[in-house]
Amino acid sequence: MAVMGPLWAGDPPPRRPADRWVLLRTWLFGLAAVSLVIAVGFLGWQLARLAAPTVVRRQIDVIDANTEAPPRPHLPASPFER
Amino acid sequence: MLAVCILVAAAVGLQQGWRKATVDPSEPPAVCQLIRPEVFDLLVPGHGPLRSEGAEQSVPGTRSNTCLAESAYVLDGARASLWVALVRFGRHDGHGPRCIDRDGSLPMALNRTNHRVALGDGAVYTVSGDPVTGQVINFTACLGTYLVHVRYEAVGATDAAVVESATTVAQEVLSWL
Repeated sequence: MAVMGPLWAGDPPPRRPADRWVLLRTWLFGLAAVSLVIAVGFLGWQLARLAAPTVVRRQIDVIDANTEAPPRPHLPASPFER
Repeated sequence: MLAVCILVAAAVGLQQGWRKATVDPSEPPAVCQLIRPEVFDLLVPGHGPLRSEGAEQSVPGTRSNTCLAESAYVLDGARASLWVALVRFGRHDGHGPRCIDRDGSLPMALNRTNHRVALGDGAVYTVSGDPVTGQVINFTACLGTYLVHVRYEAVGATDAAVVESATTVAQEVLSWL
């Protein structure tokens, strides 16, 4: 009768300290990269939020400077004159 | 690869921050003072003191003030009320400060004829009512970062006269901006 068991005899070979160090370094690098991306995104968001008032006021100044107001109209006739 | 991710993150952050920014503009001038007293006397016979409201009614990203003149009594069958609002736009909900570019700044009534007028960057008005019970005109005009809304109601005046009066008031306000 066949008995199901591990494909190899005995425990897997133990990891060497150097392999663990490489794995840890890879994980730390990934974590740092993700943190950096999130931090840059947050920084961009804050920068846009802080710069918005200055940019919008500048936009308003430019739009109003390039806008020509119509002439003042003559006094209207009374709409109730028959 | 990392550099691309950082650039994309910065772009997304900047875009989101800019899109969601709300910026109030500076206060527009008081609209009551932009209309000559003679205009009020002609269009609103027997009017009482002018009533103005300030920026506390403004929606986010805008500043506005209003002016109201109403006939205190009927003079030879004539009575009128004139309400004028001056709005200045900043930024809100992804909409910039230019009045004419903002969705819905020039209102389009669905159940009435919208008449376009060549005034400022664009203007539109609708008329309702009749001369006996009162003609009502809603006139809206955009100029730069400003919007002027005139609501003129008159009893005992013709359609054409009411339209001309509201147009004059809107142009009077815009001429000072």
